[in-house]
Amino acid sequence: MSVQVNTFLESNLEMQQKGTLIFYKGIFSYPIIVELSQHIRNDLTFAPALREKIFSIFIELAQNVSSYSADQIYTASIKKNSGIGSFHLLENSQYIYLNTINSSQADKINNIHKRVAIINTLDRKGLRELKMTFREQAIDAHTNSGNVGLIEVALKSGNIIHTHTASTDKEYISITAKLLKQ
Amino acid sequence: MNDLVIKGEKKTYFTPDVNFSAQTGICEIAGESYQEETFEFFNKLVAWIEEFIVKVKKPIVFNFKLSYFNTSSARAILEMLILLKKYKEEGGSVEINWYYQDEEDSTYEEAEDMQSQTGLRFNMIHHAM
Repeated sequence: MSVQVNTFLESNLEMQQKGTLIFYKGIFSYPIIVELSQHIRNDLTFAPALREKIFSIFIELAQNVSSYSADQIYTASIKKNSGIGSFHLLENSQYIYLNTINSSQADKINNIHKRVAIINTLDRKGLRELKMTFREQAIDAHTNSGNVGLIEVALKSGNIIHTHTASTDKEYISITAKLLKQ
Repeated sequence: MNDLVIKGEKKTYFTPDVNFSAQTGICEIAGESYQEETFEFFNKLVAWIEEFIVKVKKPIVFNFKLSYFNTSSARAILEMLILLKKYKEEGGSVEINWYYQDEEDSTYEEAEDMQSQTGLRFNMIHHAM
């Protein structure tokens, strides 16, 4: 995972020029997600509205890692498997960046790239319509996931989502959301 | 029929406070919802509404006072609203009060989308939470 984090950062010149606010690598169990989310809400010095956006985006990205990382580990306190991955919160003078990295199967990574490609073409109205469509489909199909987490990330960030893939012995997906500070 | 009262968790996960009264038909969900077992939690609420609709058949008033909920909670809330919409279509009296902090917050936009999706009209109430 360290190699992957470094590779992604080194390959992205824009990200090299940022300051790290939070970096975490490990299990994305719900108690840890909540712990990190409270630091975002309580410890960052941004305006409350911006902090809430960062918080909301983090929750959706972190849940993706927890549920969809190919590396899963049993967490005794909650008696469940949780995904392993990394989360990086960075800033420069203009933007906040939220990045997650986790391993995944190639077909799932392709699906994420395809979904993000569609999301990135849509304006706010289109994103809200797509979210409603996916939710209705999930309810009709009696599935638990509406698969709308990345749509919510795009709505909250007001920017396109960046996805990258790297592979060594495993395939890794990096997802980055970017928010304007002002 | 019993009331449904759940005290919300605010430690390793966040669940809302729930207070559903079978006698008055006044049902309130308040707080925040982001949790691991979203569907296990909301299924209890859905089951209570289903029983109310079949057994009690009185007017129902829903007060949503949620300051934040994640996308999986939103899907579960929509499922509850679809149930209430069916009750209304079958002649039941349904009133939805949706409390929000300001029009910029995400729950306001969610409420707009859920109204559009279900065809239900919410009373949008500005309220400090």
